[in-house]
Amino acid sequence: MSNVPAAETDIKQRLIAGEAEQRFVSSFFAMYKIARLVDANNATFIKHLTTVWDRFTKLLADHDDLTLKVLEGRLFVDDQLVKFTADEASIFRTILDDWSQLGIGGCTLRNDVERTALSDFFVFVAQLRIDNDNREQIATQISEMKFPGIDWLSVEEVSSGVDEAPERIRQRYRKIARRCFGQALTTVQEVVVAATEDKQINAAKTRRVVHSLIDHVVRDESSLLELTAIRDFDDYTFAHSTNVCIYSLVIGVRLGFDRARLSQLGFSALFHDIGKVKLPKDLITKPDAFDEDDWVQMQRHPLLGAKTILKNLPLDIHSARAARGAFEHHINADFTGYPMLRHERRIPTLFSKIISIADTFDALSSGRVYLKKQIMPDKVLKKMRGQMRVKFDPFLLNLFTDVVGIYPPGTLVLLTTEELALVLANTTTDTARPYVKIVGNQSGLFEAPIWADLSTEAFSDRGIVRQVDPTRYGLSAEDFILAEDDV
Amino acid sequence: MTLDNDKQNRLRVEAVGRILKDLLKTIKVVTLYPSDNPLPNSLRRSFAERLVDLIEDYGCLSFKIGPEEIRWDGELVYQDAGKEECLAGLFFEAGINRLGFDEAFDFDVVHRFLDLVRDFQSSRNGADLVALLWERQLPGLTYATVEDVSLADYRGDYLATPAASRAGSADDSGKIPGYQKLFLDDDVVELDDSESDGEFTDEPGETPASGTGMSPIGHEVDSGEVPMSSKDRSSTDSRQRGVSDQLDVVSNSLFGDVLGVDAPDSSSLAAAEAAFGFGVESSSPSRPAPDTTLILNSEHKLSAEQEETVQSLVRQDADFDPWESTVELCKEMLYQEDTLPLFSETVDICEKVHHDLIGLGQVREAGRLLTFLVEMESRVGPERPRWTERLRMAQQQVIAGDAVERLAAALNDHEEIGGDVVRRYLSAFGPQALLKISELGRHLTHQDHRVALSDHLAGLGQNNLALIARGVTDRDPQVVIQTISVLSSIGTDESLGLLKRCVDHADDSVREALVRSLVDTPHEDAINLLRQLVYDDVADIRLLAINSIVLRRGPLAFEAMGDLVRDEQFIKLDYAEQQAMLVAYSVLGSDEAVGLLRTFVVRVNLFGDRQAAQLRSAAFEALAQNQGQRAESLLLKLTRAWRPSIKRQAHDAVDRRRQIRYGDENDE
Repeated sequence: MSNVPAAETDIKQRLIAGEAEQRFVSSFFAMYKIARLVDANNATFIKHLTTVWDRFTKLLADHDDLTLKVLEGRLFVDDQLVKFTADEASIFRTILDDWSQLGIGGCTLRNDVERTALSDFFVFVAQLRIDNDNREQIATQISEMKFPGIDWLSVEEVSSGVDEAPERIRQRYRKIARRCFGQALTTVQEVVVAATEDKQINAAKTRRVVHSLIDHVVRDESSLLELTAIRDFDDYTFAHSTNVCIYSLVIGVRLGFDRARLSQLGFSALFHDIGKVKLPKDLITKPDAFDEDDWVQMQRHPLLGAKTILKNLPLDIHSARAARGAFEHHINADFTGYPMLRHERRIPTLFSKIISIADTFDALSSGRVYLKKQIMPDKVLKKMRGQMRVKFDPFLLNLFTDVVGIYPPGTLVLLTTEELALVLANTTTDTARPYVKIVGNQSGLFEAPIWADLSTEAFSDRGIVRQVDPTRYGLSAEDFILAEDDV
Repeated sequence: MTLDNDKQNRLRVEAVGRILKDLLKTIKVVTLYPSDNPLPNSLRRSFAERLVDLIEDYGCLSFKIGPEEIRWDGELVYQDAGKEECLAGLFFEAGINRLGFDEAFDFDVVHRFLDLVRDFQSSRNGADLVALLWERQLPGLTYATVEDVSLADYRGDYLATPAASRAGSADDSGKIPGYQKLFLDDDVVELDDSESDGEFTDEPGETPASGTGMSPIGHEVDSGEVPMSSKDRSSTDSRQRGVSDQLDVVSNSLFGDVLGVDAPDSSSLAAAEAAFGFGVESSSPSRPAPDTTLILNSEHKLSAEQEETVQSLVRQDADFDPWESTVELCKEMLYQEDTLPLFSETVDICEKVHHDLIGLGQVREAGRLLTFLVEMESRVGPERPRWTERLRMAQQQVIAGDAVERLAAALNDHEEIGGDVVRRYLSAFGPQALLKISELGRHLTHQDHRVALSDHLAGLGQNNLALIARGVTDRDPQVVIQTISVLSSIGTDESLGLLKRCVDHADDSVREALVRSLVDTPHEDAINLLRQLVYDDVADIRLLAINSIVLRRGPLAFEAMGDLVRDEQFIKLDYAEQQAMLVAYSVLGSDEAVGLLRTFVVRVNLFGDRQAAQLRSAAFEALAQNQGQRAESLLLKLTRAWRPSIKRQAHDAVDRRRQIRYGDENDE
């Protein structure tokens, strides 16, 4: 884990714009707005221009030129994705909408640009007021207006120049996600070994792994969610814990948890089933459905988990949270579930409620934890929201449904075009139309997949018919999830 | 020119090296001194200023961290001088390979960084520097850890079996068995919500908390009787409609005959149009997408009200108290076990939790856990003697070994822990732990905690005096002092008898403590011990003993003081002590003391004996401070004495008396 983007060695490897780039973009668009409110002699204008200029010149140490591009509604600085805060997004959205209407795909600030040119640029854009009648006129004005060191880029230029840039970025995300996921699996394995042998668990290492996962969830949750669909593990316990950790973190991010609390939540989720290491191995790996005796044993795992955590970890806020989460993750809001509380009825904590949802979803959709029958994720969600809803906090369940969507990343779907696709990410506009990788059709699997954001106009002709249970057709979702696709 | 460059470079390296040395020095001071001490504050201020200036001059400072050295720009800028002087080691051992400060690392952030390092170094519970850095996310501070290196090399080959050998992979001919079936199947019925899965539950335990709890009674959740909302119904309807639509489309598709699906009689032209009207570029056959709009999107968007719910959830969670939670969890866990070995294992864990809580300075919660173990002993009852025995053992265990030292260290580190918390904690221990707890006195530094300890020992000590008495002969004066405090609080004949042994203790601080503790001892014999201490070898102790007698007041104190001034040793004391004793005698006795004082005043001193003169002077002072009427009369009478010295001293004494009573003339 690091807060140093890989960019320090190779700036092009960065997936998300660094802090300096984010700050520059922020000041660039703030300046854009300010220029519309005050004239160039105003102190506020000058002050903000200085900020933009300073930030720009500092960036030139790492960049030859600086190109801002808008691709599919996302803003990139030299191919690095810029993430806005909610407040910033609402401001910038209007500007980007204006650009879109005028056919502007972005702009390049060359390293020879002068401050006066930058000032003129903002003064010029400020006086542009777009309406239905003058759009073409303004577009012409823009194409004719020249600012030394600044070039406008048309939508076409941006699209052709960096074709499939989002896919390339997504691919990088997915590679990193795999590494984080693998590292988490290894750590869970080490934790399990230590717990089985009643040795001290390496809490620091576990926390660092959780931090890596958080960094990645914040960066691009889809690429991690996609990996949660992999079922083909010798011992699913490790993957289950990792998956529950990822799902919980995604909810935590939605709840706006700060870093410290996300760290505690991820840590707790990773340890939620640690009690199972104290159960007979035969029980955990039993291929058949559990009988009553099995369930009696299985019901002890929350208590065993809390004991293991308190015994093998130094007491701190992480282990305290984890112990509580392990103990309570099968206790329902109405105090049904297990273990039955014998001392005092304490309402499960928020963490326990989150973990409970994540645990149930993964357990049921994997068919590898309690039930030995895999159920499709959409059906699991439907059941959780219907028949099992008394078990869960309805608000958190809503939030979770929103996160995983109706077609969670990593699931295979059949498209209306008789094509097979892997869901990669939910789109913000319509969870029924996610971002997918089309991997084959009736004729067979494609050599090169087609990347399709079903929520966009370009792919509006395709819809999802249903989810596909890969095992039923001799397929393996893992092959598609882990495929090294060249974009 | 090159020489200039070299010189400039050398100067830059030196400047960066200096700032690292300053960083180490600042960290050491900040860790050593409390945060309200002016020394670390001024040091951290000046360091922050210098670092911020340096970043401004040189730009981002990026360091490569080695096991014992730090490099900047490839140049060695710092080397650890040893274990005591290890800045590189501090970061390297935490797994940090690179560390950088850029312009966002401003004055305030430097302070936050120093706080973080201080917290890390003072943590007794194995804190992780990297985790702290990550959680606090200091602007302008960048770092890379060993994990980054290993992560970069990680190939992600964590699957159980290679993809090629997995079921469903291509066969020798490159075809996947069953693949074609995927396009032929009509299992879109999966989207139908109406079907019921008898086995659908992840757990058996829908057990109500008031029930028996242990027998799994699951599966009833899958009755399918949960009423659906109108929204659910419409979504189901629409999807059922989608199924029939789909069948229509399939039957009308180019592949309809291949698929072998009988066309339903209900025509679904709209659906077919929708399916074909998408303009699929491959002109491949199309199926309709199910209508999912009712179960998606708007339903899951957070409204303002929901945002408020989020805020409320997060706020509530912020109240989570990890220590209280853990103690409550321990209590619940103790109730969960039905067999002795498992119960005993849980008690082991409670002992460990107690140990950790003490280490964290959470004495209040440790006390709550301990008290619960004590209470549980009675709840378990006599029918389970081995269980109660285990609980009793736990109570001894938590104070065994180095527990006293750990408790003392925690209390010494946390002055803010109140005496009442310490009292409550100690009250959980029975007399059997008295000896061990009495050792606390050896280590405690804060007065509040010492008083609380004395109170505890005094409370239990009355019936266990022999245990307390051991402290009197301890070699550690601190233990003797603590014991004195306890014994004087107990205040019985036996305890006073034990205190008598301390009157001649070789250590001055012990005798001084004895005098101080005897002031409030209710037992009458305390005054006799004080009388002995009035003739101590140390002047301060003598004076303290005199004042202590005065503070005890009452006829016994007066009597004791009278005996002292009549004692033959009295005359050997120096003037200040004589005066103090006579004043004490005079104040305590009031009118009754005047007779004896008069004899000292009027005693003839024909040969000008210095001691006699001193004694007279002291007696006059004692009369001046006596508020009784008889002293007043005597002094007025003496102002008319024929002996000039007596007359003059009497006048002075009267003036002094007026001054004491009415204040200085010059006073307002």
